[in-house]
Amino acid sequence: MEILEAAHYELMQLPCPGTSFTGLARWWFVYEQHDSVSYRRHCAKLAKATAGLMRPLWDKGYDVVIIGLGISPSCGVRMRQTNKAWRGRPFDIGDSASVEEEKGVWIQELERALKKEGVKFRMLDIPPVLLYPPGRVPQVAEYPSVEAEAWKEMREFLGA
Amino acid sequence: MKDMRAKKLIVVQDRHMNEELVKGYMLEGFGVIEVPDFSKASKTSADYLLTVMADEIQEFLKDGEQVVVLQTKKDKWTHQLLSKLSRRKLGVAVQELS
Repeated sequence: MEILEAAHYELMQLPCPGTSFTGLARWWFVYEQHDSVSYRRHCAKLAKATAGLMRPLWDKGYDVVIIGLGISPSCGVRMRQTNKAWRGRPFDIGDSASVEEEKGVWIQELERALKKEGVKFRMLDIPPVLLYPPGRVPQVAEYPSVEAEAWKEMREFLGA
Repeated sequence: MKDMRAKKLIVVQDRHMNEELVKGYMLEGFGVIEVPDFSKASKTSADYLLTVMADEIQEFLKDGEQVVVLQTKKDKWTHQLLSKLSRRKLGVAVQELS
């Protein structure tokens, strides 16, 4: 919030499609679980309505920036969590889940809706080191691995 | 694993208009849901997005979270959100602001 304010950005809080679709009492998801026809339809409908809210701001000359959540199977921009075998009886796949260099479902649908609406935008996701406990932070080149670097990246991206 | 969620939420239409109050709640550990300005949206989109917000709040309440809605008489969208919650017979605390 402080970085956004320092860079003179206004915040538009996006809806959480996971909460409205699956509720809060859900297990840790991977992309393959979110990538269902009905969840994608839910995201697409939300994205269309949300893009409609952004269009007037874009028309006024706003710099539209989407901030996602690093490695989220729904909100990830650079990477998302994946496990093609994770189904059926829950089992522990360890804290350092597999990740792949793709976007989450909600970000994919939002990107599609914004393009259709004619809104140009930039995207970044908050690095996992700022979101998760140490064991859940994948050591990958796509994200800064220490907090100071992660904050620096966010500031530079937003011009703060 | 420790539950990192706030378990306490405020819902506000324009956080800038009530900045100090919102900061005070945040210092007390409240999360914030901001109701966007739907005045430029179509009626259908605004109604749909408010319905999804009501769905989210219903899930938070079901999860035992404390929800406080901040509103002034001018907050059209917060009023509509509260109407939706009321029709579902969901009780949330409302703090009226002048």
